[in-house]
Amino acid sequence: MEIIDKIIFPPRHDHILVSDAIIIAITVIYFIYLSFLTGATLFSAGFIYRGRTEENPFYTRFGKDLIRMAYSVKGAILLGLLPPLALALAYAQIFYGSGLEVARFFQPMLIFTLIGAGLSLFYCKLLEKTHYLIFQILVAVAAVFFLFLAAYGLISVNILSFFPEKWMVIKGSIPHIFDATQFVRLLHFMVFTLTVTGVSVLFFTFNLSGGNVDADEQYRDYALKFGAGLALAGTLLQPLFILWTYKAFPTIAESLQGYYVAAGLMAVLYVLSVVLYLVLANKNPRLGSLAYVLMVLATLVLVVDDTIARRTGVKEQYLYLQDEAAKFEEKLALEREELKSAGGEISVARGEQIYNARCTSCHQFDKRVVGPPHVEVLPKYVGKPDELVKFILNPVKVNPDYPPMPNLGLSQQDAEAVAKYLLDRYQKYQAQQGKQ
Amino acid sequence: MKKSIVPVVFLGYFGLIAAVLLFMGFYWQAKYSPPEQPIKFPHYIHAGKLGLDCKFCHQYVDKSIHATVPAMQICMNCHQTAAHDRPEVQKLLKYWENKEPIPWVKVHDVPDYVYFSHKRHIKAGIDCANCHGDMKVVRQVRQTRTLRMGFCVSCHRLKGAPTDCWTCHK
Repeated sequence: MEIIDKIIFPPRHDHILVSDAIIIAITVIYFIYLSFLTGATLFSAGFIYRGRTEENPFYTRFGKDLIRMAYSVKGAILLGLLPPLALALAYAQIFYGSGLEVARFFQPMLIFTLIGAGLSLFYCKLLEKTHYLIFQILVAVAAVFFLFLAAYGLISVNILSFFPEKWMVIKGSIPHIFDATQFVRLLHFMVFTLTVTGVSVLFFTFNLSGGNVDADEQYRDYALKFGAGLALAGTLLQPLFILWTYKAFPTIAESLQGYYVAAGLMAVLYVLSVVLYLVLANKNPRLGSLAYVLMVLATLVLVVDDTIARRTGVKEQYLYLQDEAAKFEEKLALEREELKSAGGEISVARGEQIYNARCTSCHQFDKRVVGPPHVEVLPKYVGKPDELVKFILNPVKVNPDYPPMPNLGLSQQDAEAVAKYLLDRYQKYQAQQGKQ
Repeated sequence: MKKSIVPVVFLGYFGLIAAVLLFMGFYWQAKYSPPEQPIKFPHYIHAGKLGLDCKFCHQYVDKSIHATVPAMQICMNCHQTAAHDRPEVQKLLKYWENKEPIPWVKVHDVPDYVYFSHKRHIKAGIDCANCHGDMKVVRQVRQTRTLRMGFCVSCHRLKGAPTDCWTCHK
C-alpha cells in the first residue's frame, strides 16, 4: 500500500473536506459491517451449540437463520472489502507530508476482513453440509477472531490518527498502541456489537422486505425477545464505555465540541433504548426499522466525534495541509504567469513573487525598514549575481547599524530568481535616475 | 404505570452520563485548553512564511538547558520598524515603550524533579518538532505531546539514548 502514498495529490482545500467526509461515511459502513458479522457469527455458533447439546431443533434453526441474515443481502460481503481501500486513500490524503505512512495499516485490515468474512461464509455453508459440531464451532471462532483483528486495526488507526505522540513507537503494518485508550475502545466495540446484532435481528426478522415469512408465533416471539433484549443490553452498557473512553482520552485530542457531540450521542442512545424497550414491552416489532435507523445514527455520531478528535489532535497537520494548499495555489498562479511571460530560464516574475512574500517584511527598495534600502547595498553586486545569491543563501552581518539578517532557507533556484529580480529592478531604477 | 417509569429511569441514566461528559468538557476547557497569550504571536508567519530558523529568536536553545523566551530586544531588532500597522505588533511596542516584560503564559513545562536540557537534545540532532509539534504552522501554541515519562523513555529507547533514572532525575 506504499504506492498509495505516492499517488496522493498535493493537498487542496476541497481534498481535505472530501477525505474527512469519505472517512466518516466509510467508517460507519465498515464498523456496522464488522460488528454485525462478528455478532451474527458468534451468536449463531452459540445457538448451534445449544441446539445440539440440548437437542432442541429450535435453537439450531435460530442459529442457522442468524448467520444467513448476514448473507441475505446480495453483494453484502463486498461491503467489507471496499472500505479498507477507500479508507487507505482518504487517510493517506489527510496525513500527506506528516511522515506517518498511514496507508500501510489498511493492508492487514483488508486481509483480515477477507479471511474473516470468507470463514464466516464458509461456516454458513458448513451448517448445511456437515454435522461435525466441533468443526463448525472452530470455523466460527476463527472467523470471529479475524473479524476482531480487522476491528482492532480500524480502532487502532483511528486512535493513532488523533494521537501523534504514538507515531514514533509504531513499527510494521499493525498499529499496536498498548494503552488504555485502545483497550477501552476494544471493549466498547464488543458492546457495540451487541447493539448492532440485536437491532439487525429485529430488522431482518420483522422489517426488511416483509421479514422472515416462515416464522411461526414461537419463533417470532423468541426473535423479538432476543433481538430487542440484546440490543437494549448493548445500548445501556455503551454510555459507561463512552465515559471510560473519554477518561482515557489523550488531552491533545480533547475539545469542548467533542464533549458536546458525546453528550448528543447520549440523547440518540436514549431514544434508541426507549424504542427497544417499547418493542420488548409491547411486543411490537414494527419499531425495528426505527431502531435500525437510530443505530446507524448513533454510529454516525460516534464517528463524527472521532473526526472532531482527529481535527483537534492533529490540528497542526490540518493547518499544514491548509498552508500547503495555499502554496500550491500560488505555484499554479505563478506557472500561469510564467507561461504568459515565457522569459529566460530563471524568471524575474518568480523572483518578484518570492521577494514580495519573503523579503518585504524587512526590506524596501529605497527606504530603510529593518534592513538597509536596496539602492544602498545593490551597487556592489552589479554584474556579480553569484555573490548576491551567496549572501541570500548565507547572510552575514555587514553593517553594525542593522540587525543581522536571518537565513530564510530559500532554495538555490529561488535565491537565483530573487537575485535576478533585484538586479533587474536596480538596473531599471538606475536607468530612470539617469533620465531624470 | 410500571411501563411508563422505565423511560424516565433511562432518561435519568443517560442524562446523568451526558451531564458528566459535559462537566468533563468544561473541566478540560478550564484546565487544559491552550492558554490565550498577551500577544497573539504568529509562529506560522515567523517560522513558516518567513522561514526564520527557531534559533534566530530562541537563541539559547543550543547553549543552555533552557530554550528561553526571546528577549524583547530580539523582537525589536525587526519590529523597531517592521509591521507597525498590525495591532499585535502595536501591543509589543506598548510593552517596549512602558519598559514592561510581556507576561507570556508558559505552555511547555516539566516537573521540577525532571532534568531536561535543550542543549543536549539539539546537539543530538533532535528536531524541535519531536516535542513541540510543527511550529511552522501553529496559530496558537499548545502542548502537542504529553511530555510524560512514557513519552521521554520511548524516544530514548528508539534513539539508543541512556534510560537509567539518573539521566533525568538528578
